[in-house]
Amino acid sequence: MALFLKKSAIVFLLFVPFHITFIMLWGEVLPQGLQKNLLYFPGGYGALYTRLKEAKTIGNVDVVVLGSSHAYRGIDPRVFAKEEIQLFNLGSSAQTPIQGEYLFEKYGMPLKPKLLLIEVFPSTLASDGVESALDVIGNSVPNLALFEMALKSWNVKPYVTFIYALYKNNTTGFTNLAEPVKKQEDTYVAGGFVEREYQEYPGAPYAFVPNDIVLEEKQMKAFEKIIACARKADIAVMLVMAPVSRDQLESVANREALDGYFRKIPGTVYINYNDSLHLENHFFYDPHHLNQKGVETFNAQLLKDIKQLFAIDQEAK
Amino acid sequence: MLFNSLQFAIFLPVVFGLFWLFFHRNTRLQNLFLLVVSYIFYGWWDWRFLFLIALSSIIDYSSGLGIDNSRSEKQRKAYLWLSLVSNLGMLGVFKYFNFFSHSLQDAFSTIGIELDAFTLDIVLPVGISFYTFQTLSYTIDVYRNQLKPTRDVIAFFAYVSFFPQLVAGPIERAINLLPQFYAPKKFSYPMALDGLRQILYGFFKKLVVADNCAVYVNQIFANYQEMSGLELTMGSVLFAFQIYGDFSGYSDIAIGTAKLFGFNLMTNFATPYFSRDIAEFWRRWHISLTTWFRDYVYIPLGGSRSGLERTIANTFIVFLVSGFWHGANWTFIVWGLLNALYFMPLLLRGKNRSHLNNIAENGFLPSFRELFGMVSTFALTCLAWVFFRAESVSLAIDYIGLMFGQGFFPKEGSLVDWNMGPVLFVFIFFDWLGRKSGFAQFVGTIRNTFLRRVVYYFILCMILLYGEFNETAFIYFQF
Repeated sequence: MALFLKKSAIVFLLFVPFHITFIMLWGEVLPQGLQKNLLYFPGGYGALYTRLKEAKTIGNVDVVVLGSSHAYRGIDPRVFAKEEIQLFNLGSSAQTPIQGEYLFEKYGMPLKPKLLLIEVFPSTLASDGVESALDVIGNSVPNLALFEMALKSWNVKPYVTFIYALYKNNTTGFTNLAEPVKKQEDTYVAGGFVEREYQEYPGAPYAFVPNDIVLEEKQMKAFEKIIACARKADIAVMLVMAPVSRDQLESVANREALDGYFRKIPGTVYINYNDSLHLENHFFYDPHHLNQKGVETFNAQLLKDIKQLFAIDQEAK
Repeated sequence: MLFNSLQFAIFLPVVFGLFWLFFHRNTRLQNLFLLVVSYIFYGWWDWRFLFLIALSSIIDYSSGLGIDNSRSEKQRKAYLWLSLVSNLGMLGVFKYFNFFSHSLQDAFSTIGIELDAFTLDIVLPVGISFYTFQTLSYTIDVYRNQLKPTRDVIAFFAYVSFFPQLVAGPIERAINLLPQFYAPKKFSYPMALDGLRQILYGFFKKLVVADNCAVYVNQIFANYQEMSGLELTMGSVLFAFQIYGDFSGYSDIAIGTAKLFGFNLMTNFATPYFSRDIAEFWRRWHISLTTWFRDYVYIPLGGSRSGLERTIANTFIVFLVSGFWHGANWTFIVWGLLNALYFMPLLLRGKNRSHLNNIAENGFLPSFRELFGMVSTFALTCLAWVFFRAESVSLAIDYIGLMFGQGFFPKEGSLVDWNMGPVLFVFIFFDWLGRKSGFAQFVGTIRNTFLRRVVYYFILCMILLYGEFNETAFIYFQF
């Protein structure tokens, strides 16, 4: 038995360098189609690479935004800049609180914001966070906190991708990646926003089936940690549900219960803009995302609410 | 608790550690420990299931003693019937009641009589088809005087509920497994190592082969009417690999886990897709079930000793019952019937025992004749698997019709994805290497330690880089 345990330990220890080498070779040699659990896409969808690069150079801001694509496609810093409020959008594709926690601590807190705005679309709190973890890993310089974030999703893909990212970062000059400002229909706007070429959503050809969204405990914990971290640094916290199309909204069967959860989080203000704005389909370009007309309408109301609730503009002046 | 779950990844090392540190020296303690952990394992699904397995165990333990203590043949038979009725009764109620109710309703409906189907709203207990057959084999063997009944109630309960094989087999015979609970276990390094190898290969089959094939199979079967002939063919082939990887993977994990505790379970799969004819296939596929039906249904019915007509009838009965065992759906019965039809020509020509050795026994590559036999047998099984996978007989017939009737090549937006090709190639290669004794055992024969470890690491890396980790249940859990 002692021999069995000893040999098992040796085999396991020798596996560590072997599998790291194997992952590197797998990623370098095999075509993308065979890289099922290795999904390393620096400069991919959502302009996160450029956003994080900008976050390191921008200096202090008034407002930091976290959230999914509803955040980085729905909250435009230019609207706030007109009122001399500097806003930086740290949203990313399918971002869940697990990634939000990492991004806020690493990139958001150093910007010393007065207000943390978290866009809360319930699906992201019900998600395992794997898609977002891969996006963040692919567009960040690997570090220990990023590795911890990768492990929190309890999925092999972020782990494998992190190992590969570590190798690529040390060999191929990841930090010199040149991500184009304009990618197909999307344009990156300084401040972390991504503007989509104007389109209008015609509506869904079939009704979405309403389903209950069940929040994941680990996401709720990470979400509460972000808020606690902000409150500890005397940063005000506002929770915002960005407008979505009526089809999308009505597909969430338990939205009242979810609203109730967000409303009860202590030390925060919550506003569901679907209740106050009632935007029709022509304010969106797809069921989830506002087009620029929708963004400006939403942001105008958001700005008004922020000025009223937090007096950020007076501090800025 | 699924084998491919975090809970099991914690459960197994803890149980292994406790067993070999504290419990293995005393037989009674050992069996009690295994019984408790097995009940925890099984109760993890639903604690209510424990009542049924306990009841089945009590009835069969008592029946075994009753048979042995009986003074007349009539009394012996009565105890046997008690065991048969209670086990098959449980199976009938939980698994088949609603099926019969709906089938009766449909049958009356065809003659214009509308009945309200009376159905039961009950959950099918995981593993019931397996452990009821396992306990039945005990009482039948005691009745046949092939086995002395045990008076060790803890050993018997532990035998019935032994967690590695409880929910999806192998369906162990009491003659093989029960005596292994009578003596304290001694740790065997080679056995434990062998067990680990088998567990590793089992996880490769489940996570890399079966669960990846499932992704395509589910899409193809859900949208089969829009698929080309090639995609539909691919669907049936991938399902063949899915069910083999899934079920034999589970068996490997079960057998390997048992070895960690010093127990030997029977082989359940012997590279069935390398079979040269359908008879050989049925000697290599789900061996514990097929031998169960042979010993407890086919032979008691007369087997092949009562003339050709009787042999044909018995063969059909066994295949149909085997199909029915798999599930309460006409698709499984048709699947069984199809396999019986495949078997008939061999039986009628007396060729059903032509291939008793391993393929390419004296070389590395098969002969052309063997290759032809292998490919055609595989094609026949793939066709039959369509019925096994489909939700209804009409869907299966439709699927097969489209497979041959639709345009063969896909139009735009095809689901045909050749990325599974290299994975399946590796799998077939591994299985080919292990065609005589199993791949895990084959790896154990590699003398060079470095090479052996490279193989382990390669498999582990394949699991990391290509495994599907969504905690998909094993297919046979639904049976």
